[in-house]
Amino acid sequence: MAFFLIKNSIKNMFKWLEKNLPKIVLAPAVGLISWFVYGFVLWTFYISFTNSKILPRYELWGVGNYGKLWASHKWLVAVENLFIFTALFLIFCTVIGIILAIFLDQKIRAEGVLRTIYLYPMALSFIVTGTAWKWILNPTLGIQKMFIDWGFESFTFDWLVDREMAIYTVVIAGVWQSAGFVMALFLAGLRSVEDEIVKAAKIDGAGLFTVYWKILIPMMRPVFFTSFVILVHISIKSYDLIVALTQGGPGISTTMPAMYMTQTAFHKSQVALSATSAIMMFMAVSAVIIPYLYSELRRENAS
Amino acid sequence: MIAAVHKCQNNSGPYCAAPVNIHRIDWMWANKVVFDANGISVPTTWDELNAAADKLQAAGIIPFAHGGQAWQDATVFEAVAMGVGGNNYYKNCYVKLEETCLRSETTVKVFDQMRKLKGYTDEGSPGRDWNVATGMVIEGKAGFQIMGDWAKGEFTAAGKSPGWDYYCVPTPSNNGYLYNVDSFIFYKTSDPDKQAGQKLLAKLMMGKNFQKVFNLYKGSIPARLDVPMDEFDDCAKASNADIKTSGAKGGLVPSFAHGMAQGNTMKAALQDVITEHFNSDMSSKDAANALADSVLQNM
Repeated sequence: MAFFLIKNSIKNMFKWLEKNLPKIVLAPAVGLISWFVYGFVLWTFYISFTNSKILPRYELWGVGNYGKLWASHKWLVAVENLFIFTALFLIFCTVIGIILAIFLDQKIRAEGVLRTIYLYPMALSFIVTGTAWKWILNPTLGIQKMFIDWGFESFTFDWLVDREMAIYTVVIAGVWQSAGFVMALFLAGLRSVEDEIVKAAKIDGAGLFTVYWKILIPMMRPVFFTSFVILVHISIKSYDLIVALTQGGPGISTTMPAMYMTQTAFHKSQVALSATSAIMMFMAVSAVIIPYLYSELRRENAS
Repeated sequence: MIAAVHKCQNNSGPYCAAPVNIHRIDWMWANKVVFDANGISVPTTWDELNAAADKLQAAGIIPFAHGGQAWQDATVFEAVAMGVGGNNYYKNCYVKLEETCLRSETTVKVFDQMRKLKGYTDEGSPGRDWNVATGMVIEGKAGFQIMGDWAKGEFTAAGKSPGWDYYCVPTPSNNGYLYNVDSFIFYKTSDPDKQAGQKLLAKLMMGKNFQKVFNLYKGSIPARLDVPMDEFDDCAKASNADIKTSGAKGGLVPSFAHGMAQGNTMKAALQDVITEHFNSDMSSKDAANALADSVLQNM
């Protein structure tokens, strides 16, 4: 009788383990992430209501920092640059990515090699990209000098040192780095479409352009979504590209929110103001990610 | 030790820091060969400097090698401020942060001179590192650079000697001397063993031999005034002599661009306006007002 009870309880224990083992294994990781990521986000949120200067202080002070932030000329320049950079970065990466993916989808001979070449810039860190493009775009060292040496005396390409145009050089470097990634996403998407659909369209007499424009690209909605989310979050976080390419210059004309945040905390010794700008960035990223997550979860639940 | 250096190490209490050197910020480094070839002698006033720059520009040489980074703009600005405005102007504006001083006509004149200097830089200046600009002077591609005494190391490494290949002269001013002191800060501790260690370290750092060897390598001058200067080069010897005469005439001013006169917040507040003005066509009057506004906003 006792033997039967023990056997039963061991079986129950194993059943319980089987049900709960995944949760147990994940628990440490979840715990660490909750503490170090979400806990620290809450800490930053708290600090933004204090008057911390060089080191954090914990007495609540009020919402003054938010007013100070939006009254700061440098922050407004950073936000404006963020909009310009994000819009152009999104558009150019997506367009160039789709075009490259469509070309590579044509079952060409050297597809593997070309795919690798286009994807390679993604493997570089933004610091390397920024530094290399800084030299290429410098009027006395790079493209402008090359054309002048070739004989085009009055050629100018000094966007990098021009306050109005410098932000567009950041777009150039960023698009060069990330277009390959978007291309890879779209290529995977195009390849996952069943052949029957394309065959059916061709039987109906659709030309290649129509096949892509009217059928395949609209089917790529999830890929658009994914690449949009990833590109926007790269753009909001971009710091090392700016530091390597222009250091926020000339003057402060290419400063971005992430750079504002770092400089305010560590160079200006204003931790609370920096925390405020971090919360603003967090809200911007949430505004993009949360609707996306919601729509994904809803679709999962529906299916 | 100089009284000003002394004060910043203890602030009317027991000593809490040991100074290891004194950096001078307001140096002008010029290529002697280029200057001689164009018949230019070392300028002693800002007008002479502008005239020399005009001559160089006419001869097709970049007059002013400058690295377009915010801290470098601020370094040049404080040398100009002290030189054009005078020592008392500098102390009132950038040490005491008086609003009337910041909005004054003198500040407008300082920004005017900065605008003139901007006209003498080349197109590739924004973003350039300071040592690349020094390299331009060493190679003769540019006439002069305004930078602290650490630039001397670049010349020495390139095998150039002061007086033969290059000039190291203070930027024009009235016995002014912009200084910055590097020190080791000792935190309060109640452990007697650590306290003994701190005292020993401080004693060693203030010793004549350490001061001499450290500064021979670093390019600055010793914080102790009684260290024999025989092994130092001519630029350092001149700096050591200048600090005594400057001190006597009230010309010793702490650098704000290098964290001596102001903390980080105020330094950044001043630097933002300076670099904006330098890299745009903001008028000098607007810049002076922006400078005062920026200081008040960050008080």
